[in-house]
Amino acid sequence: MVSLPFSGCLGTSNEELICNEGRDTGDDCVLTIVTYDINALSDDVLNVFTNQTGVKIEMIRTDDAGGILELLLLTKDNPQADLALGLDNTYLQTALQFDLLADHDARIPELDSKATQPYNGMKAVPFDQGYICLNADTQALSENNISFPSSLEELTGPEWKGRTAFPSPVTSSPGRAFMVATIDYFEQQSGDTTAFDWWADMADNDAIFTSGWTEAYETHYTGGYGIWEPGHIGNAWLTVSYCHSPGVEAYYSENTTLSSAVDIDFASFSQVEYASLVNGGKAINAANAFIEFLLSDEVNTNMPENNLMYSVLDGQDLPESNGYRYHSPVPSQPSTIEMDRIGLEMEDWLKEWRDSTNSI
Amino acid sequence: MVLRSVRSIPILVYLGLILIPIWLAVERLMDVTGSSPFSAILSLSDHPLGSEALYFSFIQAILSAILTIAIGLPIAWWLGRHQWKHLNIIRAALTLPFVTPTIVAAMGFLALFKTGGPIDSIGIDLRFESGFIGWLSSTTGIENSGHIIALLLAHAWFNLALVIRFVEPRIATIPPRFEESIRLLPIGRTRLNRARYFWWPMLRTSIGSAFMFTFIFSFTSFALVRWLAPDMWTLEALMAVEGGAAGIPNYRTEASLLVLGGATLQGIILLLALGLAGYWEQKKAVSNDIVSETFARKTAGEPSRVARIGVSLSLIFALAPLISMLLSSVRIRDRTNESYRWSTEAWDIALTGDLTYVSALEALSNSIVYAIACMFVSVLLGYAVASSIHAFESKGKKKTAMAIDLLSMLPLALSGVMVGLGVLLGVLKVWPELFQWYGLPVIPHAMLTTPFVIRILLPTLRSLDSSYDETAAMLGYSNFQRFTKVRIPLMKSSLVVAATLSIAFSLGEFGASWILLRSGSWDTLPILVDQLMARPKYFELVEPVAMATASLLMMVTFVLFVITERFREHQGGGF
Repeated sequence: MVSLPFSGCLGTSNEELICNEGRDTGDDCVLTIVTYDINALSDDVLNVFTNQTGVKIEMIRTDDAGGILELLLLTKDNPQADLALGLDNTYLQTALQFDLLADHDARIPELDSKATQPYNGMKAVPFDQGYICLNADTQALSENNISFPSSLEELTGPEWKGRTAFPSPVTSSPGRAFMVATIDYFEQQSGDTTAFDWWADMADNDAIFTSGWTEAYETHYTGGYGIWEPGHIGNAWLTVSYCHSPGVEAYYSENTTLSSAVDIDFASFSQVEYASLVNGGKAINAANAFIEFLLSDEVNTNMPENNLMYSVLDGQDLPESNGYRYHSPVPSQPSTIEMDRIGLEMEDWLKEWRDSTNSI
Repeated sequence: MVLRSVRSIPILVYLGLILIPIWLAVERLMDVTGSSPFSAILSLSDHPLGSEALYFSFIQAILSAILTIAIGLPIAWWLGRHQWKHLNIIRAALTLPFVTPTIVAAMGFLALFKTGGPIDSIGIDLRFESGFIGWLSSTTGIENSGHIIALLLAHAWFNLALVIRFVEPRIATIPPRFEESIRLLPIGRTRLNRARYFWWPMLRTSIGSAFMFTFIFSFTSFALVRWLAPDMWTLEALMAVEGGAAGIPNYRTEASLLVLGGATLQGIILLLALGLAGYWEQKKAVSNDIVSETFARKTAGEPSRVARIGVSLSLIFALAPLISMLLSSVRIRDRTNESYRWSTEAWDIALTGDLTYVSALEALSNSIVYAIACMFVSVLLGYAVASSIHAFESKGKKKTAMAIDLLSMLPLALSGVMVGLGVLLGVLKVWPELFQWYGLPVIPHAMLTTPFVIRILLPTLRSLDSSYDETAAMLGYSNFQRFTKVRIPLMKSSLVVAATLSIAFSLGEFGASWILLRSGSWDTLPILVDQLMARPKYFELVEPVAMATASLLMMVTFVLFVITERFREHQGGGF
């Protein structure tokens, strides 16, 4: 296997090198990528890669990171994709346990240490990152004389009854990341309350549980752009999203937002999304070239605008324009649960979560 | 003997197409869960939302059927009892919702009920549930009552045509002298008594059939539940969301158990409902067409003012969501100053595909390719199966014919999600390469549309005058010549109706495509609409682009529907 240098202009010789191992689709050299609906991979971006390498890209689309894992598991004996794009550090360990991924051979630039902290092996390369945390509608809290939350326990109070919306950890990756954070949060406390006691209390307090992030953030949350949508219900003042979601709101609304990230120690989660070669995938050279393309300055530094996530390149940050960075606080103390433990205990946690909340 | 074997081939192919993927999927789920389908039903209650989804599926389907009958019956009555100008146009407009893709219906109702939308502006807030709806929620203690009302209305809108098409012809063909006679009897002097002792016995089988079909379509509702009542779960919606994890060994077995149990139970419920609807249909057929429609209408005369107002309101009801959706695609809300502007920007973006992996035109082209392929498969197979059934009937083998006829309706008891999961899990097990075949979605589409084709072609085959065929044979025409020069021309209308309905159903198919379509470049229009609506909408044009894409789908369906209506021979009931 040959490592392919990427400098923004792969040459003809590399093109031949990349294409000699593609999928058998006639004369075409095709890289098949399984991913969710990633904004960053617009036609324009993909065309740049195709023009530079001669590799055509086929997308197999799923709903989210969970969908990617499930497709890889379903097709394990006969892999349909060469590259998986979007598994995060709450799903990666399961993919490793099931031996779904292969070692990459891409040349990786200097990456941010936060991005390499959860996993630094050869089977997955970070391509974007962000913190998952609670978001609250500051206007709704002010109108209803409710103080901005400083602990998770506060949310079980009567003033929050029916006013919180959580995407399910069973079917949503932000939901899963936040559930992991709550486990760490309660383990750091000195009391006997476990995370699942808290989740049960939240269910008793009429918390809204949704199947995905979209339903929680756009349909129920009053502080986001969902208020403009025809399907908006608007009955939750607090939900789970990225800590930089208020920044995204501001960036697209001329530096105005009602939403604010809730920075509670250990109640946020550093999420890293990975690009991984699929075990048994065919277009290995093309997959490696695509990883290098994704980590190139030209593509990765644009992650905040194109994919609404942080770049993983060392020294990069969110843009300052329109209040993007200003409204995106970095949590002072995110969850510290290790990825190995997540992989080992996730099934049990999900079961306990379902039993506690009686939800999907 | 040879002829009998040849006749059996299409039946075997058809049953194979339906049963093999489902059987393989069930086998895989049984392997993964270690449970039989029936013990999986019992474990449904172990799923946190299993019992709730089953209960809600039943309740909302029954309420939807009641509401549909309540709205549709007066319309059918007015249409059937009077002489209307432009009756065919009125019927076509009221039937349009039934052939509208469910995702389009969902977008139309969202546009109708949204904040600042037509319904909200008259004080009925079905999204935020304030005002009267809020009062209703707090008084009855029913959570999400606004969303449930929205869902029931959408189901009634969608199935209204069933009531009209089943009941109106029955009303229109009852001889006026029957009613005149009953009026003279002491028992028929009051309206209530006439309704009870005359009209109800005359109409109950038609009403029953419409009720059961509405129940079936509402029970398996997915797109409308997903978008109009996002906090509620039907079994179909739950299976769709959990289905991704089904069939994977040693991974979230509870998802496989839910799909196995849920699909089995849903199949049994739908089979029972279909059996009941079929029984009523058969009873109705015995005493149909008592007098010509024209004669009965002439006797009844011009519509009353109440009838005119009622039918006008029903037309507004039928068209409002579609018009509302179309307007939402060109009326853009400015988020900075909360004003609106008229613009075709969303259409430009939809057609160029700037927001999505494929453009609306590419998705339309995929949809059309699948729909045409589906039409060929379902019309050829449907014709072959219908011919075989008819041939068995002609030879006096009534029981064999009836058994095949019943089996041919089996796919009607399978929902889109069930078929999608069946093909996904079944195909992956025996032929994983097929997963990368562009034509894969044609399989579930054909599975779902072929029963409709059989139902359209079988009555036509039965009504064909065999003397034409016999005369052609005497003139020395070969079997092939008799088929192309006699049968095809005689069946032209039914074949066109079957073909266009097959295309229309395939174009709008959502559940199976949602499960199966994984390759971005294969996206169909309904999937593109759903994908757009599920995207983060930080950009103000995302929703109008979804509405424009849904409007495009609506327009294509509308054109097909107009073609179907032009070729429909019997302008009365049935599809």
